[in-house]
Formats: sequence, structure tokens, C-alpha cells
Amino acid sequence: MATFLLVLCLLVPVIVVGLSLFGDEPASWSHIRNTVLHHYLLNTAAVVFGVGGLALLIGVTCAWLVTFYRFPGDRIFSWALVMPFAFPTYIAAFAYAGIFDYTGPLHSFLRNHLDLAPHGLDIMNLPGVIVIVSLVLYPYIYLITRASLQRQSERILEASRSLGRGPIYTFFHVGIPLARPAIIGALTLVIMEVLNEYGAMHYFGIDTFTTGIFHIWFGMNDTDGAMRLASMLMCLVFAVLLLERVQRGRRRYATCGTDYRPTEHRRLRGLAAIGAVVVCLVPVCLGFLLPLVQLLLWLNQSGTEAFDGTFLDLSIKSFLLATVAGLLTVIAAVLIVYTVRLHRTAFMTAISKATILGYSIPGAVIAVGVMVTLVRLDLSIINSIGQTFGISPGLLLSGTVFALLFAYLVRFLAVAVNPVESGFDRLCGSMDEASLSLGKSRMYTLLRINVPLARGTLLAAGALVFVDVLKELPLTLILRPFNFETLATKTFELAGEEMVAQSACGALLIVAAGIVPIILLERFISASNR
Amino acid sequence: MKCISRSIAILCTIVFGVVGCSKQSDTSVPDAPNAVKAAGEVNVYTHRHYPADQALYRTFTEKTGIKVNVVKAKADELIKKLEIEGAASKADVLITVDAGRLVRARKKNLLQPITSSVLSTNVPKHLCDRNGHWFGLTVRSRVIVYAKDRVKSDELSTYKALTDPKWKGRVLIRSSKNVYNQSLLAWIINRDGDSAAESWAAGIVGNMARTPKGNDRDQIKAVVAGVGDVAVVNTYYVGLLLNSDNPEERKVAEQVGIFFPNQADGGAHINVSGAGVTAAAPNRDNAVKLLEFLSSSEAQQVFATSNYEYPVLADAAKSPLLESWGDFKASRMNLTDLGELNTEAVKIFDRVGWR
Repeated sequence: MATFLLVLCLLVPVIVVGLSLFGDEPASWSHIRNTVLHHYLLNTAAVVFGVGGLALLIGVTCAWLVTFYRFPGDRIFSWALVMPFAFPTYIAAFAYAGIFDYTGPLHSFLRNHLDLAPHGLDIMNLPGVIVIVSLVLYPYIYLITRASLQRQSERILEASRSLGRGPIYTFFHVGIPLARPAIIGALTLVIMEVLNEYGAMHYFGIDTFTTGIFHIWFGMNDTDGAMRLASMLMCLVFAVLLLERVQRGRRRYATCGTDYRPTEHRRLRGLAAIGAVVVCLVPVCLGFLLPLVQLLLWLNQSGTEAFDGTFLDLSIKSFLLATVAGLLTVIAAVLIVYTVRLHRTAFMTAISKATILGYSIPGAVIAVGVMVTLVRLDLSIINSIGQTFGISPGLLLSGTVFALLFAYLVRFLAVAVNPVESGFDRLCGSMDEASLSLGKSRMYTLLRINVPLARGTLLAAGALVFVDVLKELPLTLILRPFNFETLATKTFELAGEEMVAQSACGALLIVAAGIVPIILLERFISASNR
Repeated sequence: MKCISRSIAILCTIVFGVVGCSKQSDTSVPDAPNAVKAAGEVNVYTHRHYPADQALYRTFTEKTGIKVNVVKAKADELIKKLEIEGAASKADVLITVDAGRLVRARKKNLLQPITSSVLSTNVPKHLCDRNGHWFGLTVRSRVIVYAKDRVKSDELSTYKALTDPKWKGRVLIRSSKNVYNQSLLAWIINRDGDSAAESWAAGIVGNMARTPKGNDRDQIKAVVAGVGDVAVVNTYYVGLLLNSDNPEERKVAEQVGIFFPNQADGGAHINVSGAGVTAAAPNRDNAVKLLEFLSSSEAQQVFATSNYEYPVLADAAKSPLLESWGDFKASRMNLTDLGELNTEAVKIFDRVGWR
């Protein structure tokens, strides 16, 4: 019941946005349909398939390599491959644009030292954006797939091999199908992230559904139209989520029984080892080191002036905000997933899927939903207090940190629900049943059996949300209290005003702050697997 | 259970930590509007992200004792925020980077009319709302930048001349999503009418050197890189490039010339960054004081020297750089009209396929 109420609360802002579907046709709708809509659809489809495919390829291949093989540097790659995740997409896009810029290091070098002025050496186009976005988003798939692969029993893979199947057949027919819930969950996150990406698409001049939403809002001055487009996007995502669920059907992915044995690592030698190193090195270099070098170049050029005196304050505030949001989100996700696990009804499944819709629509649109919700609540508080005490307390909830945390919860629940769900999916149901039949309460079972067993995925979920909140922008910009700055808002302030070089310092801080939990998480996961 | 209570304790500590931390920074925003008045504050929603603005707010606080609290976001988001908050809003001042958004806020009844002799003296009539709902604070002109080695300045004349076939494949300009381009087209609609404006936009699209992408700085760089020969940009971006930390960017800025279009035809298109007092302002008087300060010669000089924008105050000293570009004839069209035509402009852009 409590979970149901929680879900309801979290759904209100999404419903507020969704209601726009039932209003009159927005004024700008026919204009959009006749002029630019097909353009949005084509570009969105290209970006979703491009990024989805590329991120899947990188993420799954690397996860497979580091989980099952030994090759030079495998331990380092195991955590280095997560690093690109610390880059906000728009910062990576700005950094890449900077590298390929006419006044950037590449062209300057070619021009000044080799006397070359190559035309067409440009990254600000559709293929460019697909590659860049894939490079910073594949860690979702890598991280979650790896966690799932690590829990696969050696015995199952052994069975495949003893039946005469080679590693590639085992990969496609045993390993991947077993990790399917995790991989699909992660892919869903990547696709939703791509769908709501605004900064990079806008700067690179790629018109997608999301830039369209803002075109209607800002350009046509039609918020209702924008909300409507956003809800259409939401419905599409919802349909895909349900479809996946239906297709998965009643299959279960738990490893039951006592014959679990951790996977063994096979040592690669010669060409195979070199191949594995190259495959893992490329995403780390392109997704992390290269943009990092560009940021360092900018830092060297423009210094830290823009951030002087605010370093510590900004870092502490961003860190605390992200930690609290991460904790709250994971707690909410565990409650929701556990409730669905207890009552496997279609209704609960649909509700749990609905709560993650917040992730598919742009942050600014969610912000409007949250604002409408909280201001209405505020006004009723003002009214009742005004009638009782004769004073007006003003807006209590909106425009405070509470509003921000609530919005983060609505938005990033998906990031936590997906890994938590796949973590719980792998837990054998008979353990719950044993605990319950011994007279222990559901809460006790959850806290003493399920949570400890799934702690690796729970931590992964928390870390994902932490890093996401650290990078989050549009929500924070709109909902923050007066004079409230985070690393991301300060960085964007400069980058958005065409002062990218000056913003490098902040971008580096975001990346650095994101790396800390990633490393901690890595240590924890490898310790718990030993 | 021990571990649960411990985690709850840790969680509580962190939550209070965040609340405490954020309180530190906004102790100045107590909950009751009455208390805000007594403390002497003014709450600003602004789209301007320039460091110079923060410095100006500090100066204002030093002079008057009124504390300035700021939320920065895009103008349309702030307008929506004002709309939702309604009468309970704590905001006093809305600052945007273009007149069109102020007109939009006024039409939604989010701004209140102000009569101030200081403001009406400092800000020329065509740069503010007819009824005092908003006032321009800085002027930016949208000009033509050209490659000095490939284009002679006497080849250039008006915005319209850029649609001539001789410029085919040579014109650089950013996306139509950009509000500066929208205002430029709204200005043309107001001067020459809908169909002339549409054929102008179509003509520019036909002459574009590439599909629009990047910001104004990127267009200037593309001129030097040889992607095209002329670009339409705001003046202050040239100033920012000339004073960049990156020597390569300074080199770029030195290779382009600035041309003020339509000098014989009503003057170059200008826009303002401006401000208005919100309809629900709890600190109305402080808000007016802030606006008056921002229009004073002291503040105007800061705008003109730090961000290379043109001051609205006629006798404010300009930066040497602005002086070096020389005086130019600016259009005297009332900017309210631009705001009214913004949506029409956006529709034209979509129709002619200006990305």
C-alpha cells in the first residue's frame, strides 16, 4: 500500500505532462506536422538505432571480454571502461567539437606545422553525434551486463562447452540470452537518454524529437504543444517497454540451487590477447582520454578564474545533493521492484514500468510537471494556513531543495529500477518463500535476504543515479532555489554562453567527482565476487 | 536490524547536511514575503549568464544594501516558471537576452508597468515597452562579418543583398532555433511584409555555405576556415574572440571585418537584452531601484567594456574596441513589434527549410 502511494506520488508529474494529450489540438500542431515533423522522426530514428547499436556492441563485447578472459591490463580495463560515464553528453560533444574546431588543436596543428587545411574534417554531423553519444553512454550497458555476466554460473557455460560449442556460440546462445534482462534494461536506459538529449543535438544541429519539443515551446510559444509532443514520445517508450515485457513472457532468469560456481577466466595469448586489448582500449581512449585531454588544454588556456573561491562550496553541495538523490532513488526502486516481485500482477508490472517514463522525456518538461504539482500543493498549504493562522507562508515546497530531490526521483527512478530489477530477477524465489514460511515479515525478508544478496546491483544503481544527478542540468536550472549553484549549472552557464574554454574547470570537476564513486563501486564489486 | 538503523542515521545526517548547506547560501530568502521586504532584497530571474552581471549585482548591494538573489535559466523556462507560480511567485525582476521574450512575458500578464523618470531618461523610447512593462539595458547589433582576403566591404550593403546569386554557397548563419535570427526575420517582416520576408529567408537558405550548425563564434571561424565568405553574427562575439585566451581564436578574429548593414536603408537590425518588473513582485520598489541602477552610466559602462555590448545610455563611455568599429546607424523600429512577430518568423523559417 505504501509502495502504491509512493508510485502514485512519483507518477503525478508524469500524468500532468500526459494530460496534455487530451486537450484541444495545440495551435502549432498542424504547422509542425506539415513542415518539420518527418525530419524529427527520421533523425530520431537514426540516432536511436545508431547509438543503441553502437553502444550495445561496445558495452556487451567489453563486458564479455573482461568477465571471461585474462589479457594484459584486464583488471585496469575492468574499471577504466566505466570512466566515459563520468562525462556529461553535452560536455563530451563540446569537447569533440573543440578538438575538431578550426581553432582547435587538430586543425591548428595541421595548419601551423604541416601547412595543411583539410576540408571535411568535421564531426558536427549525424554520424559524429552518434559516435560521440555512444562513446559516453555505452558504460550503462557495460556496467549492468558485466554485473549480470559475473553472476552466471560456470557450470552452465561448461555445459555448453562440453557439448562441443566454441566460445562464440556460447557467447551468443548461452551467455547473452541469460544476461538478456540486464542488457535490455541497460539498452532501454541508453535509448531513453538519447531520446531526451538536447544539448549535444542542438549544438550539432541535429533536429530530433526533443529539439522539436523545445522548438514548439520556445519558438512557437506553445507549451501545451510541447507537452503534447513529449507525451507522444512517452507513450512510444511505454509501448516499447511493455512489448519487451510481454515478449520476455514468463521466462525466469534466476540461478537456483547449490551448483553455482563463479566463472573461470581463460587466458588469451598472442593475437587474441592483442585484439582484446585493442577492443577495450579504443572506447576508453575515445570516450574518456581524448575529451579529457581537450578539457585539460582548455583549462591550461583559460585557467580556473571563473571558479575561484567557489570550488569547495560547489563540490560539496553537488556531492551531497547527488548522494541523497542516489540513496532515495535506490530505496524507492527497491520498494517498487520488491512489491512487483511479491504480487506479480499485470497491473503492478504496468505501474512499475510507468514510473520509469520520467527518464524518457526532457528534463525541462519534467520540471514543468514537477512545478505544477508542487505549486498546487503549496497553494493549498498557503490557503489552509492562511485560513487558520491568518498569515501566508509563501511557497514552501517549490523553489527549495525538496523540489529538486523530488524531481530527481521522478526523473532518475528508471536508472535505479532497471538494474535493481535485473538484480532481483536473478535471485531465487524459493529463498523468499523459505524466509516467509519461517514466519518472517516481508520487510524482514527484503532487508535480510534480498537486499544483501543483490547489494552489488543496488550499489551499481546508486552510483548510476549519483553520477546522473551530478551531470543533470535542465531540471536543476529551473527548479533550484535562489543563488543555488551546482557544478553542472556553473559549467553550463559558461559553456552555454560560448565560453566553453572557461567552463573546462567545472567540467573536469564533474568528471572527477563522478570517477570517485565509480572506483569505489568497482572495488566493492570485485571484492564481493572474490 | 542494527545495520538498518545505522543506515537511517547516516541518511538523516546527509539529508540535514544538504538542507543545512543550502540554507547557508539562501538564508536571505525567509519564507514569509513580509520578512523579505524588511531584509531589503530583490529576487531576479535572468537569462544572462555573464560574469559581469554578478559584479554589477555586487556593486548594487554595496551601494543600496539590497541583496540580489538570482536564478539563471532560459527565458522561456523562467516565463513558464513565473506563469505556474502566479501570484505566489517570489521573483521581482525578469531579465532576458532579447526583446521578443519580454513581449511574450508581457502578453502573458507577467510584467507590471513602471513609471520611472530615471528609466525614461536613460533608455531611448524605441528600446522599451510603450507602457513601461520592460526596458532595454544593452544593445546588440546583428551584423555581417566577412573574410578580409576574399571580400571587399563595398561588395556588401544590406541583409537583403545577401540573397543575391553572387553569394551562392558563401553565406554562413546559425540555426533558425536561435532567437537572434528569429528577431532579425521579425524585423524584416515588420519592414517589408510577410512575403518579402519569406523570400528573403528562402534566398538565404539557397545561398548557405552549409547546413546551419554551431553558435555565432563557429560561423566566424567557418568564414576564416574558408567554408564560406560572409557570416551574420552578433557584434559582441567578434569582441569576445578578439579577447580570447586562445591565440588561434584571436588570429581568427583579426582576419575578419565587420560590416554594419542597411546604413542607407533605415539602419542595422538591433535587439536588446532587457528587464521588467514581474506582476507579482513582492519587492517592487527594490526591483525598480535595480533596473534604474542597471541603466545608470556606471552599470552601462560595465556592460559596454566587459561584454562588448552597446550601452542603451547614449553618453555612456564605450570600450576602445566598440569605438574602433565606429558609429553606425541603428534601426529605430520599436522592439515591441519584433516580439509580436516572433512566432510568424519561426513559422517562415520552418516553411523555407532553414534548419
